[in-house]
Order: sequence, then structure tokens, then C-alpha cells
Amino acid sequence: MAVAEQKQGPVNSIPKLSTDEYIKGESLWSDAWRRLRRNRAALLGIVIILINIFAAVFAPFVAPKDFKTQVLVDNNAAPQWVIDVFPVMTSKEEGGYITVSSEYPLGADSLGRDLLSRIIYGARVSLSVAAVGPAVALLVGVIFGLTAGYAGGRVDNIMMRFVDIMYAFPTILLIILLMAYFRSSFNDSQPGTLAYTLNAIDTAFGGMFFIFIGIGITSWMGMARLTRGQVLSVREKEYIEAARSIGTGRSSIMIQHILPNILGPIIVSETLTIPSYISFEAFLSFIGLGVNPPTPSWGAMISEGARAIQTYPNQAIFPALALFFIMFAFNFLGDGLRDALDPRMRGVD
Amino acid sequence: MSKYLRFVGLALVVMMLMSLTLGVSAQEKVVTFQFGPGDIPSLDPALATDTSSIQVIQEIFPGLTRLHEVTLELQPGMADWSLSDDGLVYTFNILQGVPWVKYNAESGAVEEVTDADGNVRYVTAADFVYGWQRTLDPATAGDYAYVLAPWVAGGNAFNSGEGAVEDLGLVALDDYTLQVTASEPAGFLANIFGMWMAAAQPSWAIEEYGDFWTEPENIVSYGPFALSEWLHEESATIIKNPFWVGTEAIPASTIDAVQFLFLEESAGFANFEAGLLDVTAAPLADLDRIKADPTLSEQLSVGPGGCTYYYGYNLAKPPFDDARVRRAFSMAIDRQSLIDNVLKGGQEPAFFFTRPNFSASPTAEMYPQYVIGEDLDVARGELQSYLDEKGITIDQLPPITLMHNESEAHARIAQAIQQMWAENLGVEVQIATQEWAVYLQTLREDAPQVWRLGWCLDYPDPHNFLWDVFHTSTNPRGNWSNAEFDALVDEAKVLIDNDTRRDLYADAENILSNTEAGIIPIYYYTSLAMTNPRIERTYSQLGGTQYFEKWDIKG
Amino acid sequence: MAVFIFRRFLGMIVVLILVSAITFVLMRTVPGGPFDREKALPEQTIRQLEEKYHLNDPFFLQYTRYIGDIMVPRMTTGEFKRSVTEDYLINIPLPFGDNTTIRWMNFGPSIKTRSRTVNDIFRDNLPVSFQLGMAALAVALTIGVPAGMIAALNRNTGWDYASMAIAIIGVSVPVIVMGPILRYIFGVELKLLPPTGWGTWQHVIMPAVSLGLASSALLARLTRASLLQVLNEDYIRTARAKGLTERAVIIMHAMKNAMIPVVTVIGPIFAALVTGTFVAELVFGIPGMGKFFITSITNRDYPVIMGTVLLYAAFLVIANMLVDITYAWLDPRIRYD
Repeated sequence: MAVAEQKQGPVNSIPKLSTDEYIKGESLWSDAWRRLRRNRAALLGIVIILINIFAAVFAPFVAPKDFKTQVLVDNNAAPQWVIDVFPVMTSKEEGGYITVSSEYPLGADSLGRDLLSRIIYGARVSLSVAAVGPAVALLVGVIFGLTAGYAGGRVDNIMMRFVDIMYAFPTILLIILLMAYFRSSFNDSQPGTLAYTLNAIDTAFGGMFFIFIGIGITSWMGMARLTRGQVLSVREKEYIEAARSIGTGRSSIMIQHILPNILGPIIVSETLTIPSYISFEAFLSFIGLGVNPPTPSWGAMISEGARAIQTYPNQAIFPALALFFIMFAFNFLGDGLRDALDPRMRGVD
Repeated sequence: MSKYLRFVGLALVVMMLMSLTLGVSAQEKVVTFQFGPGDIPSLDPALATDTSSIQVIQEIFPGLTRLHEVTLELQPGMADWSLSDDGLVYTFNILQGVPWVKYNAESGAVEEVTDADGNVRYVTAADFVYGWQRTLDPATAGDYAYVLAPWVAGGNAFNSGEGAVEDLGLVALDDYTLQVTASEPAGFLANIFGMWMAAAQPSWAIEEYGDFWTEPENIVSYGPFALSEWLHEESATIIKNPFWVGTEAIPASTIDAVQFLFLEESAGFANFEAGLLDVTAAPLADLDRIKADPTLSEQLSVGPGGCTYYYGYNLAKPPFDDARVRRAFSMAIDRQSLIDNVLKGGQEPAFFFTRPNFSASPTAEMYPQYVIGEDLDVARGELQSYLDEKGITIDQLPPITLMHNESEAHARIAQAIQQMWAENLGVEVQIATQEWAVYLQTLREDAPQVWRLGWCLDYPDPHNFLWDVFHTSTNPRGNWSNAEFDALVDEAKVLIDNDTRRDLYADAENILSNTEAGIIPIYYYTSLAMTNPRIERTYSQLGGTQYFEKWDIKG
Repeated sequence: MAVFIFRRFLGMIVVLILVSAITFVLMRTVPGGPFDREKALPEQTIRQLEEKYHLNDPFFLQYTRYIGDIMVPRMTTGEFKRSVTEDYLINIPLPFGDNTTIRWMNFGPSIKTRSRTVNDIFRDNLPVSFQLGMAALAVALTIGVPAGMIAALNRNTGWDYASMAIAIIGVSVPVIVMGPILRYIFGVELKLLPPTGWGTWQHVIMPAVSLGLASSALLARLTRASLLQVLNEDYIRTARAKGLTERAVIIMHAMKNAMIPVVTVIGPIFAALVTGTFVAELVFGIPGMGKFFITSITNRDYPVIMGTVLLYAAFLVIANMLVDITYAWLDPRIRYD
């Protein structure tokens, strides 16, 4: 859900900004929205993301089955069409090993649970992960990088050394250590303490919460560096100097003049990192640090299915397709936003 | 663009320059064998702890005694032995004419090792004395010293740093006679004295090369094979030792070399399907396909593993402080359904903790009256009687956590059992996972209500299961402690007659797995292997260790 | 320039010391230790092991000893016997006779693999990861940057969409899926390439492609975005106006500036790739460094954890320093500070 707020930010803020900005001419945001609407690929992206959010929120109504009910005898079952699509799969009737069952639209997993339902429920984890990483990265990283890049000199130096230190940790190692630490030290804490509350939250989220914290802590440094690099490249430009010369304040230079000019690469970079957060969740599942079973996540399904890719390709391919569509959506939306937000394109087309 | 092309070209050249070929010549009989991913942790008999290390060590440093890998009968290894009437003094007559050997990488041959005067060094009783002393030496800090220490007179004292090395009950009467005085008699001591940490060790090589004496360029050994290559994190190769004398239990090898590849299961299986690997583990994910495939199913072998998979309880945490609840949870697991639908590897349902295939093992067939069974009515009845006594309903039970260490296989089993408990007893349990090292600490300090572990044999005797894991003095996990159980396994420990011991162990199992239900035995492991049909092999029952000197390659 | 590099080098030392201190505290705070076993070891054995690896010393002493072993060079004379506790990465013989040698950088023993040191791991396994990482980076750059250029120069045409779609496939199919699929198709079915292993150039192809594809997507799309931005700049118009060919404009002027955001991400991609990649190593059975980032923690192999963290940190800091130098080269308006 946070994804919606995040990605629709520009959309929602039209009325707010338009009141005082229309006087000066067309606002950045409404202009951007106008151009975004014309970009069919980006609109398609928004639609896919909205569908996913809808499915995640209303999973109990959308999903044909419960995500955790096992029918053990139907383990790895698949409907006939899936067997037809994947030539390596052969049904028991044809001397193969697949139990044919039309009960499961995309097949069942190794414990006889409906794959489709698990993919629908799994959107919850993957979308949350896809929202938390960028949210932290944009909030912390952009502000940090903007400040450092614009301030320059000693401030920049100190801030960037801090980023260097945080950045110099191998992310995987840091997350594994943190998660091992959280999951153990909060496990048997007394009710009423912060540790107990955090652990309760984690349990309620099916073990996602500590993944969020881990991703949050490690996600913003790259953005900070990128933002700073961008600021360095635009801050000496004529229009910034012009703004400075007419006495525009620092914060207003940063927000009104620098930020819009560097927003393109930042947004593209962030929509590009969303896949890496989601596949990071898959990686954590692969090494056994993912969400608690039986909570489904695309990452866990893909990593589990990948081990059986020669025998039950559907178990990895379908969640991977779900992942592909959401990546596709975020990427086209990202590109659309980039084009829409490029200030030099204003008034063009 | 040319910049990129140059870069790519450079990278390709660099890659080609760095490439080197590994190949072993085609005429030789070479078996390629998959080990799990990651390096062999140690080839030092005093330090080894895991199956990969032990597999290689068994082939290059055979012990005094050797288990037949199929019958589990104890045979002479590097020695035959006699036992004094009080069951305390073991006299080992060591094989004569077994030289220490070393692989020469330049000539590509295994060579005898000579001393400063040019005389061939033979394995002597002194080498065994040195090996035992080094294993038990606290300065060596060997993980498995504690298995040997309690059984050699003065062993525990020396190993804990309190006794002197001279006080060990260990004497080389002459070059080929080793006399060991045990601290107390027990039927399985000849087993323990033949384990890898009690092998002969080369004092001069260890002194010369220190910590790195097991590297291929330094190592000397004496078994039917010798280490020829060890590419860390990638592979290790053992090559036939032509100077091995050959005995009934350890014949001279017919194959020339065994190459161990450190690969994850599915990577190993891909190589097997491509015809590049002779023996590999059969991955669970592909089992159904393997069984249905006419060719692959022929190549699949299902043999017993050496381990028991079980759930334990924390007996201090309600509701598992009551035996009725523990029994109900054990009875509510449909072990056969778990095996057929989830595990798929032909495992055997376990109702006792001890594996059934040792001579003193009680089995469910022999003692059906001690089997807890899977009667759901009884299970619900016992749980209900607990609830009635407490005056609560099922929903008022304290929240129950089932914890396992992070692993896909454990997660599957736990989820299936979670559903069985929900369906059969109406109890919803939460599953929690922890990373392995954290998990072990949690078990030690504050075990969750239900937890999982497996136990694999060190030597094939019920003592290794019941006493070593659950006797109160070993600090078993989960607050298990039962005086009656302790008395039974103590009594069985010092007896020689296996029929009497079996009865005692059956009574102990009855307490542990049935009446008190301190644990839920779930299944006995199997080892699933794929073998290329060109290999003629034996199928070891030892749970991991193969004797390659008995293998052959057709054609 | 030299002053800049020197200052950054000093900065790197500070970063590494801070990183090592934080890692040291963190890894020792996490529960579990290197001697935890399924069957608990007896007290006396644990005591012996802790003694051997100095884990029973005061915490601060352990850290200073560790840092001291790495940072402080040692001079040895006479016969030097390498052991797991005394193994130096850099050994410089001095011409004073009696085998006088300056020895520097002892990263300690591996607790899990008992006859190896962290330096052994650096010597044996890092080169493998380095080769694979460079090959993967080469794949990423050769696919990513040109694809991005094509997309930007043919904006909103079929070319643009096609290269974007390829980029998305690359990034949204994780190596966990891509690896086994490639291994199955080319290794098992077609038998064109060895499914696993390391040593010949054939072994490099599949892991390099599956790793490179994932990174190439990021590069392609950053290049596209950045190039589009740059193409609207005044100086490009000026360059065009001067009558330069479109190709010269793009390559000499536009690409140089457009590479800035791209270069930013190459630093960390480089560091991550050359220090090893766990999944690719596991799937393709490669004896690289990447597995140690995971297994060292699972085994609580403290010296290996420290070693891998410091290695990664050093690579990353150096890569970022190179990035900053490249910035200045790409855009002279950026000063070194």
C-alpha cells in the first residue's frame, strides 16, 4: 500500500500545489502528470501496480483457496494445460510423475498448496518489500545526498565518509547478522518490553518486519551517493548561479532548482532498485532467512521452485512471471516519470 | 565503442591465460563422487568432525578396527585384537609391513616414506600411541577427543588438563603390539578404538609441517588410498596406494582414484545427468521424476542413513510439562503420510530414537508394546484429560511455538506437521525459525516448547544414541532428565551380551519415546544416491562413509 | 591529484578501522559461537578451543590483537615456520642475511577449516572471484551501455522498447532461476558447456552471463536516462551547431557526461562482483570467495567474517575513489575535495 503513496505522490499532490503555483504558470507536477498521462507504457505500469495492490489487499476474496491449507496427496499436482505448456512435465497417465488436477489453476506446490493463491497472497510480502526499500532510500538518501552535495566542503566530506562507512559493509553480511540478532534476542523477551513488541510485530508480519529493518538500514546509501553525484554535476550550472545571485535561499535552491533537475536519474535508479529489493528477499529465502513459513512470498516461492526447475518448472516460472510483471510495471512507470519530470521537456509535446 | 571492445578482448585474454585443465587420464578407473558444497573442513584425524572429512580419513588413515559397511560387523582394520577376561585390557596386533606413503606430484606416483637413514617408515604401535596422545592432548583441542577420552584409563584427566600423558592406559609393547587399558568395560569399546580420531598419526610430519601437515604436498598416510590433490572449495582426489598390503576387511583397491567434487545437490545432479559425475545425492525436488523415469529409476539407490530425525519438547514449558500432552502430539503425527508425500525418500517411520539396524537395537517389530502408535482417538483422549484436569479448552492452551533451524526441508516437515496437529488435535502452533548457530544457543539456554534436531551415529550401538544424547550427565536438550531411564542405560552400558542389552534399551526407549514421551521420533534417514551404471559398488549402511577399495568400474 | 589520492587513502584506513570495529562488536554480540554443535561439546573442549583461538581474552584485547596482527609489520630473522596463527600476506625479504624478512598483514586462522588461514582464502579463492567478477562486469558493460545508448537515441521507438524489455528480463529473473535454467539447457541438454566447475574459459560463460545480465539492466536504463538528459544540454546543441557529425557529438560530448550516474553504480557493482557471488558459486560449483560471506556467519568463523568484511570494504572504498577520479575526468567542473 505504501507503494501507492510512494509512486502516486506526484498524482495526489496536484490539487495541493496547483492553487499557488498556477499563478506562476503551469506547475511542475501538473505538467508532469499531463505528460505522464500521454505515456501509454507508463499508464500500463500504473494499472499493473494497482491490480497487484488490489490483489494483495483483497487476497482473501481474490484467491481461490487459502494459502496455507495443504492437501498432501496433491503435492506437486498440476492441471493438464500446465503439463502441455512445459514439455519436460509428464503426467502419471503417460508414465510420468505429475498428478493431474484441475483443482489448481497453476498447479500445487510440494505440500499440495494452491500456487495461484500463494502468488496472490505473496504479493503482500513482495510489494511491502518493494515499498519499504525505496521509501527509506528516497527519504533518507535523497535528503542526505542533496545536503552533502550542495553544502560541499567539510560538511560534504564528513557526510560522505559516514556514507562510506555504512556503504563499506557487505549488505548481505550486515543483514544476516542483524536478522540473526533480532530474531534471537527478541525471541524470549518479557511482555511489555520494546523487544517483545518488535518480536510480536515481526510474528504478525510473518517474519517480514526484520527483513524490512535490514533492507531499510542498507538501502539509502547508494541513493545518497547518486544524489550527491547529480548535485555536483548541476550545482555549478548557470541557472543555479543565477538563482543564487538573486538571493534565493539555500533550501529553496535545493528543492526548487536542483531537485527537479536531478529527479530523473533518481527516480529511474530507484525503480531500477525495486527489483533488487524483491530479489534480495528471494535471496534471503534462498539462504533460509526469509519470511516464516507458511507465509508465502514470491522470493521464497521462486527460490524453492528454482531447486525443482527441471522437474516442476511451473513452481518457479509462475511466481517469476508475477515478479516480471511487477518489475515491468515499475520500470515503465519509472521511465515515464523520468520523461515527465525532466524540466527541460516542459512545454514540449 | 572501441573502448568496450578492447575491454572485452582484454578480459577474454586474461580468462584464457588463467585457464588450466584438470583432467585425469582416460584409461584409469576414476570414480567421481559428489560431496556437499564447501571445503572439507579437516583431514587431520585428531580434528575431523564431519562426514566429508571422515570419509576421506577412513580411506587414508584406517583405524585399528573397521566396521563392515554393509553388515556393520566389526572386523580387524589395522590390527586384530584380544581382550582380557575383565574386559579392560585390549591388546592390538598391528598389521606388519604397512609403509607410510606420500604422493609425489612430479612423478604422479605414490611413494614410500623413508626416514633420515633411507629406511622405509612402517606404521608401528608407536604411531598409534602418538596419535591417541595427540588426539587427547588438550593443546590439540580436537572436537571428538571427548568420545575417546572417557574410555581410556586416564583419558579424561589428561584431556581436561589435569592428568599427565604418562598416566594414559596406552603402551606400545613392541613395534607391532599396542596395549590399551580401558577405564571401564563396555561391549562397544573396540568400535570406539577403531574410530578416526584413534588412527595412527605421523609424529615427524606433524612436527615438521605443523598446522599444514594435511595439505597434499605435506601429508603422509598409510591406508588403501593416498591424497593426491586438494583444491580447496573445489575438489579433492585420493589415489590408490600400491603399497597397501590388503586385508580381508580392507582389500587393495581395484579403482585407481576417487575424485570428490564439492557441489550442492542440484548442481551434482545436473553433472550426473550430463554424464560427468558417477555418484551423487538424489535431490528431493527431482525424486518423483527420477522414480518415474525408466533409466534414472534404475540408477537410484535407497540405503539407510545414519541418523534419526526427531522433535523434542521443553519439558519445563506448559503444556509440555505433562506427559499426556507430549504423547498426544507424538501420536497425532502421521509419519507415513509425511514420508510418502513430503520426504519421498523411502524413509522409515521412527517410534524409537535408536536406529533399528545395530545388533543391540530394539525395533518396533520386536517390542510392539512399547510403540506409541498413531491412534488419534487415544491422542485426543489424552489431550482432553489434560484439558479437563486444568479446566480449560483447547483455545485456552498457552501459545505453542515449534522452532527449527532455517532450512527448506525442515520448513516443509514443520508445515506438514503443523497442519496435522491442527487437523488431528485442533491445536494451532506457530512456526519460528532461527539461523543455525543462534538456534543451537537457544536450545541450550531456553529451548522453545517444540524443537527439532537430528542425531547421527558415531558408532553403531544404542549407547551412542540413548546414553550419549539423553543420559542426564550429558545435559540433554529440553530439560529431559529421568532417573529410571538413566539407570537402564547405565546398566546396559557395561554389559556385553546384546540380547540383555536390547531388552534394557527397549525399556529405556519405552520411557523416552512412549510413556514419558520426552521426544517425538519422526523418521529414520535414508541416503538416496544416483550411481552411474558403469560403477560396481557396495552400499554402505554407515550413513555416509563408503569403502571405495571395494568398488570397481566395469569395462 | 596525488594529494587527493593520499587523502583518500588515509580516509580509507579510517573507514576500514571503523568498519572492522563495528563488525567485531556486531558479530560477537550475535548469539551462538564457533563451537556450538548439534551435540554440545564438553566444557573442557570448548575451553581448549577458546584458548587456542584467544577467544577467552578480554574483548578489547582481542580486537587490538586482531588489528595489530594486520596493521603492524613484523620483522623476523632465522627460520620462519608458517602456522595458522602466523601467516602473513605480504613477505618482503631484506638483504641483511639470516633470512631477515618484513612480514605484514596476518588476517588470522579459519576456525572452521582447520588447516587454512584467511590469507589462504584470499590467495586461493579471491582470484577466482576476481576473474569471474571481471568477466561478469565485462558482460554487463558490453550489453548494458550500448543497449542504453540505442534506447536513448531511438526514444519511444521499437528499439527503445525492445532494449528496455530485455533489460527488465535481465533484472527480474534472479540468478537463482537464471542459473539453473542455463545450467540445464547448455550443460545438461545441449552439453555445450560444463554444467559446473572452474578452470577453463568454458566454465566462465554461464556464470558471467547470468551475473552480467542482472547488472546490465541497471546500466542500460541508467545510461538511457542519463543520455536523454544530457542530449538536451546547451553544449550538445552547440556541438551540433558547430557541424560535428551526430556520432562525434554523441561519443565525444554526450556520452562523456552521461556516464556520470552510470559510473556511480559501477563502483559498488564492481566491488560486489569481484568479491564473489554466493548464488552463482553455488549453482555453478565455483571455488570463489562469495560463499564465505554467508558461511563464515553461519559457522561463526570470526576471523573469516572479519576478513571478508574488510576485503569487501577495501574493494568498495577503492572503487569509489576511482569513481570520484572518473567524475573529475568526465566533468572538469567537479573539483576534488
